[in-house]
Amino acid sequence: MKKADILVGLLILFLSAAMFIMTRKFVGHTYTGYGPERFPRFLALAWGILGLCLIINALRNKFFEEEMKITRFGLGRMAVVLGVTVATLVSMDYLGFLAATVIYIFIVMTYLKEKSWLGRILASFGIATSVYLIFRYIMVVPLPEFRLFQL
Amino acid sequence: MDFNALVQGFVTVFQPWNFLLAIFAVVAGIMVGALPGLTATMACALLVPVTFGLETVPAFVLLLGIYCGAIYGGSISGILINIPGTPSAAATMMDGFAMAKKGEAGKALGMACIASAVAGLISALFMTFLSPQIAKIALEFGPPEYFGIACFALSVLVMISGKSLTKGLIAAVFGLSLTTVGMDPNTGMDRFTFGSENLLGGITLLPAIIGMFAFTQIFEDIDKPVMKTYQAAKIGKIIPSFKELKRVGLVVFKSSLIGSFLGSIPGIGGETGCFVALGEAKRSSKHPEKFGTGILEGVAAPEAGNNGTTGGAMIPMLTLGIPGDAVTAVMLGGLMLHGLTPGPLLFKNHLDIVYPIFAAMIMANILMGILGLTMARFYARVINIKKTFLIPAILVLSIIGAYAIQFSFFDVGLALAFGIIGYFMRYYGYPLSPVMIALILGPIAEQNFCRALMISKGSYSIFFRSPICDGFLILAMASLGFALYQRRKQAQRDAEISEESRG
Repeated sequence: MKKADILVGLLILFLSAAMFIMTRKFVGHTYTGYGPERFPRFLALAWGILGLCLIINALRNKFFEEEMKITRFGLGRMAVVLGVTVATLVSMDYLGFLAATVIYIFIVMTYLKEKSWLGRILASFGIATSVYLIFRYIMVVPLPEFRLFQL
Repeated sequence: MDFNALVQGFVTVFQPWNFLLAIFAVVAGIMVGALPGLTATMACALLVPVTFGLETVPAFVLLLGIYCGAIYGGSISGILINIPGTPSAAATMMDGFAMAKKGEAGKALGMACIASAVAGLISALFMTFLSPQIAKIALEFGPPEYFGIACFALSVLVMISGKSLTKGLIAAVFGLSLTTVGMDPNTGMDRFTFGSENLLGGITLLPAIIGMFAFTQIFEDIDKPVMKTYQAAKIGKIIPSFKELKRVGLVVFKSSLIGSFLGSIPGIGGETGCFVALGEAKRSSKHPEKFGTGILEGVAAPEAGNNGTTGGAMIPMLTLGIPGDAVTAVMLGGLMLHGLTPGPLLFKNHLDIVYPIFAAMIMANILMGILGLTMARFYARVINIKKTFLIPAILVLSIIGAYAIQFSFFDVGLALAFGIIGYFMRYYGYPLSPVMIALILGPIAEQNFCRALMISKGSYSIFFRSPICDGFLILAMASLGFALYQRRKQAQRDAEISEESRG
């Protein structure tokens, strides 16, 4: 945690400086003298102080050991699910919400090592269809429709 | 307090559709709470977009049912498998699981349910009678007072969140920084939008909440190598005897009041309520040494303490527009989605909404008592639902929930980004709730600060002329000072313990 705290502290200091520099572009004064740059500047200052505190605490060994640890395995799994989610969102424009979601659920369940084929198929169609029907027809949310052959 | 309006509120919530919705919500809430890892905040965040298609009263019947049910539901897995379903059930599982090991799981579940329902009901009544009075006082509040309250709420939130004060403050400043994205409320100038039109309106609250509480949880769940299924303890007899109920009656009542009071302080949620109530029950008990060994008082006190916060937490949200905890922050988002602005004017202009909300809260707690006791064996089975089925369902609901607010895929991306940030924040010990609550409190603080300056023509003395504002600012500083003192004391204690163990 010590190393992580120092790295995060440095990142926060960098963010603080970047935020402060960016506020120089916020011009526009009110008659009260409180312009659009004031609050972000105050926050940039707060970031700076807190970043320093974090680094100092870490250097003085005043930090809490993490209860959970990020592992490569965990990060990899998150990245895969994230990647599949982004791919699904992109494909939704062509495949439509329903088809893309059926495929998405099936892939995620397979990746999570759900063994039952029938379970995967039923859950994919069941979840996707019920969500689609509720949002499309009860809540009248305009969802992307299948238009692959119209391209 | 308008009794006619309350009666009318009951008439509204007892209409068949609302009543059925309440039953569904309470059962679903208990199920969500019972599943380890799924929290009331997450359930409400996922449901708010669904309520978009409903009228305001049914929407709140649904959300309040889920809220009350999930807070109780957390105790089920705590008692049966020693894993709290929700963070606020952490204190319950100590005695609850010990009872389960003695073959009294059913009785522990029954006690938890009765204590939760009684406490929820007391806190709902607390909310019903107190809110209109607070709203009346709040009508007199001006911008300096609101600024003071927002500062106080932020300080309390930081004080209670996580082990490290610095990290709690960083989380709160992160949330506040997010509120500066978009158009400046005074001059209309865009800040930190990086040329994106999607950011002109600022960070949309609900996708951010869905990201922080739903996606983060999912990412955390999938990074474990084994998707566990649990073996729950046997249930046995559910309802405690009359003699036992009589014995714990006072503990339940006292813990309910503690929970209701703590809940009404902005920033304090069920997690604090349950531990304070348990501590008080232990302190006032003739046999404090028995706590932790599996006694009914050890289940009743924390359960009454955490469900007691539910009604209390609604008070600042409804009367001042300041969320009491993360769930009420979501509810606040829900109210805004329905075109309502929480605050004292809600009590002046929308009594047709406010009183049905009170009635719905009371009804949800009564239903929770009935459905919790009668369906206890069913909820015990829910724990065994496979995560391989749950995770994809929650992922899809999160995606569509984020999309449905503005029909925007940008919001889905935003939610995913918040999910990733939340995932790393959790692992490195940064609390998530301050981010979300600061996201709500930031604009309240900044806008009221500006308004106050406009009234005073730029003079900062306006903040020192209002005793209420001064009072809250002093309280804010005091709570931060207290937090610093407490943590220093804790560090000293830890150092002493480690020295002793070395010696």
